[in-house]
Amino acid sequence: MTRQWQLMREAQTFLNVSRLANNALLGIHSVQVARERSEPIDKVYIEKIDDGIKLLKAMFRALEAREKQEAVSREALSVLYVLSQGRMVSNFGTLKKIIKVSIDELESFKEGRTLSPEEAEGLLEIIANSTSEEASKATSKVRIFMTEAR
Amino acid sequence: MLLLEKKAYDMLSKITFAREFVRKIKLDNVLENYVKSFISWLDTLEERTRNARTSFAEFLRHTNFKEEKPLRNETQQRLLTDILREYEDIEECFYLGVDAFLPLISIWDYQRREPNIKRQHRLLVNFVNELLELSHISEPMMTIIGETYACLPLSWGEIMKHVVFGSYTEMENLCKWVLLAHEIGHAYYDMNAEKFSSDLFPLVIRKLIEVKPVNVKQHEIEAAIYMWTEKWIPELVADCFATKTLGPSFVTQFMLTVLDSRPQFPVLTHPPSDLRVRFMLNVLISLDLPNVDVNFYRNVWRSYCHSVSKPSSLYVLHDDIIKTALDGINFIVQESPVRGKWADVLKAQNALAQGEIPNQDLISIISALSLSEPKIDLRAMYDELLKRHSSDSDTL
Repeated sequence: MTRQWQLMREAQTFLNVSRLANNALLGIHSVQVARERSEPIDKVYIEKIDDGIKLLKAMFRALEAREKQEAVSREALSVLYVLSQGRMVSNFGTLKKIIKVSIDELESFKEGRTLSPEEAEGLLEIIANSTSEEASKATSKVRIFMTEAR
Repeated sequence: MLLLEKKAYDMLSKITFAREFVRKIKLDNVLENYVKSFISWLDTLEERTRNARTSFAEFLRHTNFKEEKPLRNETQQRLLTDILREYEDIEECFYLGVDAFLPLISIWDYQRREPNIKRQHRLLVNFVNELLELSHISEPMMTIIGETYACLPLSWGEIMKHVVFGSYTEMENLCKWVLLAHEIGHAYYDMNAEKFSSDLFPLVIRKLIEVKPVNVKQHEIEAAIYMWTEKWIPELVADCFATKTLGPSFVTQFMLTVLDSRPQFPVLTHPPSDLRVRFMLNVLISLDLPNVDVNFYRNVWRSYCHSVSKPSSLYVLHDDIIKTALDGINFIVQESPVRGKWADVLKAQNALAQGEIPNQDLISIISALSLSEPKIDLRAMYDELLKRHSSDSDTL
């Protein structure tokens, strides 16, 4: 497979992850805006936050699987790769702690016990930004290639 | 209309255009295999765009955002960032799944109808179809005469489709067509990705961790894992698939293609060519095909490779990792269709040696040509195969 087509597949994987993380952020920030205005919370936002919790739980499981050297999905490997390139995965123990705290924060945020899930927001921002950026970089290279090929 | 509302409008217009485009085309049995999934992907993108538009409408309602001045509230700024990122991601998805695919339909249609190219195209399609049948891949694949041998992966949600490309400048050099087996091997990999991910990746990761030198940092090991699992293993699977499908015919042409001054040099996207050739030769040995002297191929390759380079000492190319990966791939890629085809290839080879044009199927003839000396008149052979397999009266 040519390098450009490899990039295409890579971009698609990153975009799948970026969508989940960004969805969760959309949920968090929409809830915060609504709360600031003392407006009722739409359940769609809570569902988006739940998607984020699912993503973080999947990452937690992936880290555990990696520690036990068991099977890990391609998406999870891609996230770990992206996070590691931003030096976030300096060791799995720390990252697991951050994920655990983030999941607890999000659960508590949904129930209104936490006003600002800072750890979770930070982590989700990093995931969404870095995967979106990687996808963008890959797609740009594919675009150049496609233009030349045509 | 606000700027971001216009963006949503533009994106929805593009989706409508794509849907209309597909509605108007005359479907054949190959395109049918793509269109249903493609339309369903357009539905998904439309829904995402509409949702993003709704998010922005909600945002406007809650924040009283005006285009005349920037937001001051930090939470609102963040929400706007999320919405913009969602638009950005949808646009990327649109590019990869729609912009990259739609023009190919026109090219496919042009190549199968245009008088000055349709017979060549038909011959290539027949060859790819024979390859798919031989390797028990039941999905028809769009085949296009393009710039180089390639397999374009299209990911439409959960569905993956592939488009295969042949090389325009090598259309008459039939020997080269066997390289398409590697490209179809990528489709095979995607169809069986779960198996490799669950059964092979953990073993390779374990080895990478076991053999890594102490000074290798976590981000470096993650990069090595990513390189092996996302890039190198798919390439090696495609190599194994091609070798088990076409045997020495593929290996010969592959050696010819990758022969360069740095056979031991690894790149992020592909393992070193020496490693790939050695793997193929080991697979060839395991196939145990009659009248195949694997040592001959091995010596030919070594004469160049060992003369110009030494094995890399990088830990990512440690023997234990390589052995684990290659044994695993060879085990998972179980079928060896070349075994059932090899007798025909030998017959075709005999006919060629006697100056005759073989009577066997396309795969056997092209495989035999790939093993033959360049003195054979490939042009005459090409014309004869065009006559046999793609007469003007043929239709897809």
